[in-house]
Amino acid sequence: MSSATGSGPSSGPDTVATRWSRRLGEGLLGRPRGGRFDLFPYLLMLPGLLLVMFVTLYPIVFAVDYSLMRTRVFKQLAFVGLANYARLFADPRFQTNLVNSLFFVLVGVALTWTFGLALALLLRRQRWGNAILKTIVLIPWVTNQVVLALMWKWLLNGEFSPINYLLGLVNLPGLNPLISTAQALPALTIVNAWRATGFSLLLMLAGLSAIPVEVEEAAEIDGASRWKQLWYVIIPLLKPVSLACIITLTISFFNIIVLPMDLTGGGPLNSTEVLSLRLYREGFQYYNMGSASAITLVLVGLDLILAWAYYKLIRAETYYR
Amino acid sequence: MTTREHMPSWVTTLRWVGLILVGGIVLGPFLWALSTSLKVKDDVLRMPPKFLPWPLTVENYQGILTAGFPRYLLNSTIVAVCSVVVVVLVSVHAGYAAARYEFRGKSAMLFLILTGMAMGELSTVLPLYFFGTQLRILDTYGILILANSAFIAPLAIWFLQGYFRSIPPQMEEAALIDGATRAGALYRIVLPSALPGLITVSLVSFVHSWNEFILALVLTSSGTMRTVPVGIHLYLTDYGVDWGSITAAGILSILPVTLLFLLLQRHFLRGLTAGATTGF
Repeated sequence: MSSATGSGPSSGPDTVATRWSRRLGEGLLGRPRGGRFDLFPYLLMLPGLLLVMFVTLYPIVFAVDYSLMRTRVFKQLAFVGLANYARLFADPRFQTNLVNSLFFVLVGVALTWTFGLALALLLRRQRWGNAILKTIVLIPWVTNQVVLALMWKWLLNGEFSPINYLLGLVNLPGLNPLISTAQALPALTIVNAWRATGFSLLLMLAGLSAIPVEVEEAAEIDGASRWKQLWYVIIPLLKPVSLACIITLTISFFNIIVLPMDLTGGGPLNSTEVLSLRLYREGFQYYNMGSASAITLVLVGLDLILAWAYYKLIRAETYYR
Repeated sequence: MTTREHMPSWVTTLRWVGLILVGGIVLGPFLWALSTSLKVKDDVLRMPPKFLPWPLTVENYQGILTAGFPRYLLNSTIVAVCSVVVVVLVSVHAGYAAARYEFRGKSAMLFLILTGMAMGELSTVLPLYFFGTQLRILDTYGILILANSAFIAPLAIWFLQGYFRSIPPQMEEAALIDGATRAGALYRIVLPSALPGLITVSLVSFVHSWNEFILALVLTSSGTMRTVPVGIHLYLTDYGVDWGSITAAGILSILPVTLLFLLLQRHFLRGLTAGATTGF
């Protein structure tokens, strides 16, 4: 694979930058003249790199260090190897946290993607009303989650909810999902999907606009039904943008904290306690930095695997252009 | 409208029912919060509920604006504006280097920067808290600005390097031949033509910092340093169910971002999708 494209010793991808610097000739902007070391681009890059490493490399090193220690608040008492991890994975509550997180993320992402695609198909033609709705759907995504949590906390409470009043008017039973161990997590997941649908709608619209009209017309002439067009033509063509959407959402959902914290507080009976909430509690309620660091690394590990997949995907996409 | 010709009227009706239904599901909670914030105390928990706030009152708004809330607004504004400045400064330079220069270690550096997009704020609260205690900069604007801008920088750098690549390099070339320094070419030639990109980055950074919660919760402790989302969170836990005041605070907190978003939508959307649809 590498021998197919690489021509020089440094067989990097033929990026736009390398093409342009070649066009510019011998390094007005591009490569340093005569092979002399050029400090300038490093100076440009350095502040950004250091700033970002402050929230990437430093926290990871810190978490690795603390996760291997027995701790009292921030004081390291003894090296214990993987004992923190072993204790966590044997802890039934942590297993519940993992399962909750997986449900919250997998179901949440599936719902968000489906809502986004459905809305995008509804709204993609330039018509009056569509533009307004597009804007409206994005509002929850730019609103802070504390406010969303408090709005839904009220709307989903059993006693004073206007939703239950309306349901009562048409003789339907009222909802009170937040006090039910079976319904609280699905409710939290749906509220979060409601919040994030604007983002997935945006990506799906971008994806749809890149599909040439001829492709769909051809399918229609061939006699494909609407559903078949969607399933065999549109969804496969949306694959790259769908993957980007799914991975971005997955990372963001694994790391969510305010919405569960203020909407359900992890309850009832830990039924909505996701990994992120457990991490916060280990760190800032129980002051157990060893366990908190171990959970951090579980979370970071999940994130990095996903991000790596994302990076590979984007690289693969760029080669086509 | 050509659509009317080949669309049966029931399809048009169905489409409008769909649009209104979706709009209602999305906006409903916001409208309910707005309505509640304008109700008098006795009406807030009334059953059957009053959907329209009548008699209308602004006493909930007056109440929070004479309490600690203006300070939260000020803190959030300071943190968000300073974070925007730091992000723009840092990402303009790094993005420009990534777009126009080839140098040893570039792809490794870019990869390191990109990993920042995969880190959640939550994964860093413990280390940053520890860092803050060691340097005694907890409970200051400084650490909030530092942390916020570090989280937005990867997306900003990513977006801006793509933007710089879309600007033809001939003008910089000409300026360099005329004797401009390389930094001069960046500041005087490239930046003015990259203004729309800078607006996008600033907007997205502002909204991100304005809404950021967990870092602000953990890294500040005194009442005078709290930001808006943390303030509302504490109302929620401290005062229980004063829904009138809480919804008023909520509405005030989303007003600035919603206005910015509505006014500058086009720029905003580009920034939001940048992370997911462009590549190096």
